Amino acid sequence: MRVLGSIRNKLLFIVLMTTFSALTIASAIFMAYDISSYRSLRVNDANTQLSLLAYSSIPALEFEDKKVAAENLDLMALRPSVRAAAIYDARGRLFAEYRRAGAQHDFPELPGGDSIEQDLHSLVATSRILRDGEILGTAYLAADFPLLERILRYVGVLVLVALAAMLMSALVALKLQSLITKPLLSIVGTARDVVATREYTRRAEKLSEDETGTLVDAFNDMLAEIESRRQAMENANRQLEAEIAKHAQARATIMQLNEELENKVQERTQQLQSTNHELESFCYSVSHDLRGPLRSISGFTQALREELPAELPGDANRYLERVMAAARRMSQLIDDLLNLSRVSRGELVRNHVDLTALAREVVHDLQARDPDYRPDVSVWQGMRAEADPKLVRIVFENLLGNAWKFSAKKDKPRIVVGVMKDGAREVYFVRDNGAGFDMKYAGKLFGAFQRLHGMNEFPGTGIGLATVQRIINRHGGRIWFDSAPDSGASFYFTLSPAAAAATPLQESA
Amino acid sequence: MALLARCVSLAALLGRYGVLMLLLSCAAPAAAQESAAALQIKAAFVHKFATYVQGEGTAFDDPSVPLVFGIAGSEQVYDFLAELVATQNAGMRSADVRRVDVPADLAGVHVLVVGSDAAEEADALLQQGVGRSMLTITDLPGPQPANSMIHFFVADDRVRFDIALEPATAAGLRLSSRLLQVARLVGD
Repeated sequence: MRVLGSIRNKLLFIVLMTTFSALTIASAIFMAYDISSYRSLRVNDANTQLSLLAYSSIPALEFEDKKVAAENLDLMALRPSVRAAAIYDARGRLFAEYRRAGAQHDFPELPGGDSIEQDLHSLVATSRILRDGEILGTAYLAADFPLLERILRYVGVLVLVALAAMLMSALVALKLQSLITKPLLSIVGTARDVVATREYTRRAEKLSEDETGTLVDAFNDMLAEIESRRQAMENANRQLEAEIAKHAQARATIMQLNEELENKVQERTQQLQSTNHELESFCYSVSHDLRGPLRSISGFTQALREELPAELPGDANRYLERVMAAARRMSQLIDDLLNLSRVSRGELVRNHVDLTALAREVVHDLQARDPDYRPDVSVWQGMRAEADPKLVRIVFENLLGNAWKFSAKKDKPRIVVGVMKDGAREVYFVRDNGAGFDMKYAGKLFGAFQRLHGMNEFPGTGIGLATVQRIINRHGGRIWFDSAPDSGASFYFTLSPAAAAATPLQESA
Repeated sequence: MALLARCVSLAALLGRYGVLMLLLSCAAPAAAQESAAALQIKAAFVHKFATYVQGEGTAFDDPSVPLVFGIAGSEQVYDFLAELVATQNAGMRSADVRRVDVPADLAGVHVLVVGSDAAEEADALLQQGVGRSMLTITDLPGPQPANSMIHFFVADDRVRFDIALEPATAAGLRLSSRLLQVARLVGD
């Protein structure tokens, strides 16, 4: 069917095949009927002929008159289809014979009884000649029986008829098929155009009100649907493109701003660092330079005290004492300030540090300086860290010093130095059961020169915790605390950068 | 079966005409024998003639009446005919054969055969037949005598016969045209 290609050819093929089938069947039936009736006609004819021949030959046979028999047979010349005829006597001997002019024929030695034999070309019939039940002889007839010729002629005629009919059918079909193909070809043409041009506004022309018409309607509806969807899609695309462009612009702006911000931050950081540096230099030089005059004040006050008599008038002695105390305090202040600036300026050298031993040394020093005060101090064993030994010592000096100082007024003062695990990180703590402080002042705790207690209550410069925080920061660690008035205080710190998302214990209450 | 039936019927024919046929086919030159063969054929012809004769109100049209053959002057014809009648098919009409010596014997005879031995009485016998619906057959040398309807002769060693229609018509008999077909002379 693919060979046929177009619908037009298929329709033509269908019509021709239908015509051919109908013609073939009709012809076959007609031919079979005709051949059959022709055959029976010829057979009947032969039988009649034979009967007549037999009847007319009875006297000749009975009275043995071959001449009369031959004359009877000669009448067969009136029947051109009879090729040969013969009369046999009762003993089966040839009695009289007839051959069509110019025909060759061999008569059988002994003819059959009543029989008819036929093939595609000839018919041979024999009939016994009877009179009053007595067999007088046999009549024999051989006639042309052009069955094959007739069949061939028939087939020829039928082929001609079939050709003519199919030609006619083809002409009619070609004329009429436009009823079907024209509307179809119209749709196909439109469809091809639409595919080629992508112009979905085109419409197929409706040429008929049958199924093809319905197809045209459906096709046009589909085109309309496609067109509307395409437009909707184009609109959506346009909107999307616009949005993308807007987003890109916004992103560019943000990136520019980010860059500016980073630049600004870097700038500010540099400014801050240089300012810090200047401040530290200033602090260092001021502290350093203050030492000279202070030593003079202290030295000369000492000298003055020694030069003057032991008993001085009025409150002179007490004044001198106060000058000397102030000088000592100032010296202490300067030392702390230098310490603070040194902590910030020096290079960090990490080493393996036995914190337990270090803490015990500090406790030992504190005990040596203040032999009368004996708090219950316990330092846990096995505390180790990778840190700068000098700086960590300053941390313990300050934290233990504070604990020592603020627990002094308790009946049973107690100080604990220990460690606990927070995930992979070790958190060290220094705890006392001393005066403590209100957590609302927590913000001021690590500022330099910030003091929560009066100078008379607890001595101190107010620089220690600032120094501690700076050291911890330089190690990448954190420091926090927990306290309440008269309930002691706990300071916690780490000496390494926090693992991601590690939450500190009790950062604030 | 058809072949068998045919063989049987052929055998029957041979039985009946056997001697005659053999003699004829041998065509022996002896005059006596030839004469016997010819007589046998003539007897057979006589037997068949009756079937070609019709006549209103005569015995020929009434199959219920046995057909009576009267033979004069030919003992052999008598013998052969008697044998034929005795051995004829059951389907055929019954017949009787008798000798005719004097005209008085003609009573009841339907077919009269006058042989050469009764040449002298022939005219008288034939004369007797006039006015009676009797088929008259003569087997005499010479031309067909008056009142003879069928007259045998031999030509080319074959038995042939002449037919005279006038006496037959006078006798109220009609001879079948098919019989006339094989006869030599028809009418005078």
